[in-house]
Amino acid sequence: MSGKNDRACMVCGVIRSFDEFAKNGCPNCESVLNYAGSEDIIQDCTSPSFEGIVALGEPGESWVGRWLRIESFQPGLYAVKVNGRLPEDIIEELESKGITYRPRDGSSTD
Amino acid sequence: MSESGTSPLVDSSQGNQSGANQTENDLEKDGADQRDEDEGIDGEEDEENEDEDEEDEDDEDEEDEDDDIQGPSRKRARPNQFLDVEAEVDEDEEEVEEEDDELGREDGFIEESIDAFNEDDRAHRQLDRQRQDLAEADAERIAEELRERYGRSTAAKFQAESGVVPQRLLLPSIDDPTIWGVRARPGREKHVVEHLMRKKIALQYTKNPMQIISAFQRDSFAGYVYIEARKQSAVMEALKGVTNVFLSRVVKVPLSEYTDLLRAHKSQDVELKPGMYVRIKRGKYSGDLAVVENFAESGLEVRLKIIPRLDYGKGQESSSTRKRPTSSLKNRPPAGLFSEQEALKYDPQNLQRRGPNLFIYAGDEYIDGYLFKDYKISHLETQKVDPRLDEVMRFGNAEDDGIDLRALAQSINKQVNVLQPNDLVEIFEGEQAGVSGHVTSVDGDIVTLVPDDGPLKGQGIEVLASGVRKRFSTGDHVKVVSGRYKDNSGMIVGVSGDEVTIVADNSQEEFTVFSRDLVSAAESGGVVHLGKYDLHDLIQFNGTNVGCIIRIDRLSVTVIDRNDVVTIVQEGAISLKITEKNGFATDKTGNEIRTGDTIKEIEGKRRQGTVLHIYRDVLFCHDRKMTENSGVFACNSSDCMTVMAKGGRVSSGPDLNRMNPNLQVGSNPMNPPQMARSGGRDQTIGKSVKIAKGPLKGLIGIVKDATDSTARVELHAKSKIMSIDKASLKYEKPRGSGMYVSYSQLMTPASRDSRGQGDATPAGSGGGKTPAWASGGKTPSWAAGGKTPAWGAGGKTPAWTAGGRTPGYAGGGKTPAWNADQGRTPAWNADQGRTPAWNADQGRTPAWNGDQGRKPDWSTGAPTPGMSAPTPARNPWDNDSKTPVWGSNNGASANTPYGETPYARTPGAFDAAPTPAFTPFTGAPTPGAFHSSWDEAATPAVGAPTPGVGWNDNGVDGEEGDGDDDDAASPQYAPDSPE
Repeated sequence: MSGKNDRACMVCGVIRSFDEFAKNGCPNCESVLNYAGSEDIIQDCTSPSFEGIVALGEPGESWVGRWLRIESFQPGLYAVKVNGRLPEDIIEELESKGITYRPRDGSSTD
Repeated sequence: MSESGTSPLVDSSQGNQSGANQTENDLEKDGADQRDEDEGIDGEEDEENEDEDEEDEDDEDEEDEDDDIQGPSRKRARPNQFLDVEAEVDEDEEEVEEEDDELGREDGFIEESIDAFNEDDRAHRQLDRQRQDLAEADAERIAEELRERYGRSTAAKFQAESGVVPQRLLLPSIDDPTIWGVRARPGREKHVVEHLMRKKIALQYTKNPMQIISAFQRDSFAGYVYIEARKQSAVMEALKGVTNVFLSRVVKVPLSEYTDLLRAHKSQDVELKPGMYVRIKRGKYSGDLAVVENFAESGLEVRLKIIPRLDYGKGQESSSTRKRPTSSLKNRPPAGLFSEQEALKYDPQNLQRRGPNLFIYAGDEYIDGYLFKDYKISHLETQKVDPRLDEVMRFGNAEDDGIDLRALAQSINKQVNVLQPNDLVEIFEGEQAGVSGHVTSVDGDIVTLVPDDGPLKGQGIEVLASGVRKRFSTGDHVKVVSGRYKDNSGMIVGVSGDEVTIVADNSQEEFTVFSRDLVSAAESGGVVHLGKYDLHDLIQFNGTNVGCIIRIDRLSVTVIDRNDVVTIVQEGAISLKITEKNGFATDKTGNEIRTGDTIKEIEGKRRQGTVLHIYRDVLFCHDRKMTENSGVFACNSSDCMTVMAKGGRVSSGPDLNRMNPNLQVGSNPMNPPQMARSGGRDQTIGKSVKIAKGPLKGLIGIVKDATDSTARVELHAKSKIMSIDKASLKYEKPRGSGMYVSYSQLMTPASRDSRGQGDATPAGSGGGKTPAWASGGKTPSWAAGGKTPAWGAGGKTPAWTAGGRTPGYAGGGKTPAWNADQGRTPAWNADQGRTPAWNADQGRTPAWNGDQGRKPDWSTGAPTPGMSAPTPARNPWDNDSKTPVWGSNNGASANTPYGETPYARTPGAFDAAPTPAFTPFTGAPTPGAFHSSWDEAATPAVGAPTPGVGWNDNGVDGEEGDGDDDDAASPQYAPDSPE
């Protein structure tokens, strides 16, 4: 499952292979990022460098999910830390849609 | 909704009305329409918008009343839309279709209304429309995008979660599920987590879904998988059948540690910044230092400045097969700046010029000779870069001569946490920047400090260690504790930010370091090593001169040479480090001096010190109490006296054996083997030994060092050096044979060749006087030993006869170890007591008495001096016939009243010994040999050690005061015997 081609979405942290992103997109962010079919976006918005794998079984109930801010996402594998940042234009685009991008590389503190 | 969709709508509404009032209505209605469309989106996005929706509807109702014409069709559409939105917030396809339908309907409606279009107002409306279009364009575009995306995905609620809640409000509470830590096989944690995920999904809709909520793993907690569940039983259930986990060890993680488990540390502990140094981990440049130039936006790639390794195509010719990956590291070209000439010469077709100093060569970019290339951060070593100075220098270019210390410092591994309580520090990061105070405690990265002044005075503040720096002021005396200038000390001459300029104590050189690398220091000290040279090392320099290092500076050392003169030696002038462990010299009185001994000058400055090195006759000594030249001085060994020998090695007066001409003769073939020591070096050193006694019995080792009685044995089994009594060791002999002999056996045969030397050992003469010897003789074990079969067996070795009685033996007997051996090992005693020859003598010859009398060694072996003398033949005789018991009897006799008998000292006994008569019986000793022994006996210093002499000593006690004095070392000897 965790092959060499696995990448983590920088927005939600979900871990999938590159091909899967290309085929099915991100289970959570597809509406905003349109991964499916667009390799450029996958390149820009997912990272091959991530650490800490969380198997999120019941998102709503999980403190782990809440702490990682993934409690409203689909069950699946998520990364605790995703290295890399979204490109500025994507961040702006997200903001224009009312989504605050919170980097998952450990640099956001609050 | 597209622009084309909007325009007809506007047109249509305009077509229904006229005049200013109408326009206003139009505007309102358009706005409402716009909102309606948004509403569909908003409703999906967020339920908060519901209220708004309702308002909108109210407005629309009013509008509808106004707009009679379009009323019916709109009303048909409205409720549908509203209901759809409400009912199917999360649904996708259908809804979109409906929406599309609705739009279609609207479009249809608009088309109908075109009939009522009023031409007159066209210009006005067009203007208005343009204006509106402009204003709405943005909003519409966003709406359009949102529609497109939100319309078909469940992610509509994407932003409606905790994105805005500060993380501290998300801290775990007791209501949250518990996290359990489970041991997993290291390296398989991820698989376990993935396995659990699959299992969870697989069992989701079965009768027994997994009760665990989540599972996770962190690279920083290797060997653990964490599972979030309400009950431990759920964890157990979930892990049933999962491989690579150890169910026996499931621990509940304390609530307070939850957040630590999921802390997303900074992506790199060292955050890369342009200008920093990194090392490349793979490829042609692996191991090479590079400078970070720039970043890719994603933060995953960096542009590096590298010193290229180019062969300009030369290598390719030779290796046409291009086995690059295997051989590249070994055969890679040396690093050097890109050369246009070379490239033009050898490989012009790959070269493109892009600027005055910018080239593209073989697809890579070279600026100013450096290669600029993008690398993935994961291919870079950012943590332990530790750039070497020479590497850094190669990157140094002309315009900024200095090295960017800051960049360098970030690359250098900060392994030392140099902050200590009571350090004066200053906060330079964060809200409290500028506050300074004293550190009260340091806990990992957190430093608690108490500000000295300001509003926070007296309150403890906790700050990150990285956010504080030590504060020093000009004039402070400091020592550098890390970095390039480590161990230098000096006076601060300037402070700027966290950079401190110091003038070194030693070299008077000025250098700049970071304040964090400094501690205030009262003492001044220098570097303690220069390359392989350490303080107090003995070095050879300037050809043949030799000196001991007393101070080390960055490029030079200060030494004391053998004339006790201080000299500064440049690093290059040092030829070698002299490591001679076994050097020895003799002091003024002829005593042996070895490294580690304490000596005192008896002339001149009368300095006293521990010997660091012995170089020929020069001693390099160190006195802790002396400040001059850091306590080191050189002196001539002949001007010194040993004050204390290392390890309590016995050193007494001069060895008189050396001066004894009789001992020098050595020509007599009957000379016994000697327990001699050759060349001052203990023969046992370097021997393979087997421990024959004690708790370590059976272990094999090598003798690393030895004193007279003990050996320092490095054991093969445990890598450990132990002090072991020499007598409890068996020695391999010959080397490599696997045969082990006892100490006495080891020493015996070898001694013949080296008798003189053996005698020369100063320690030898003293040995006999050691209490051990005397007491050894008296120990019951001795007697007991006498009874062992080994005793008997040993006794039969012919070697003994020779050994036991010849003068050489007596001489040898003076080495204390030997004596000790003698005194203690039953085997030896056995030798003494039982050789057949001797027994025979005893048993059969009438001369037995004489023999008895002359057997001083025997009697000495038995402690009582009287032993031999007093025994009228009878007792031993009787015993003798009973053999083994004889020894024991002998031992017993040590305590028998015999000891008291005046016989012990009777001249008669004494006389008996030397009588030539005894010679034939014993066979071995020649008169000559005996004679020398006798002579020895006469020399006071020797007296004690040789058994024979010992007896003599006692025998002549009254006559020879000197002998008595020398005997002082064995006081027990006499008193014991009366018992």
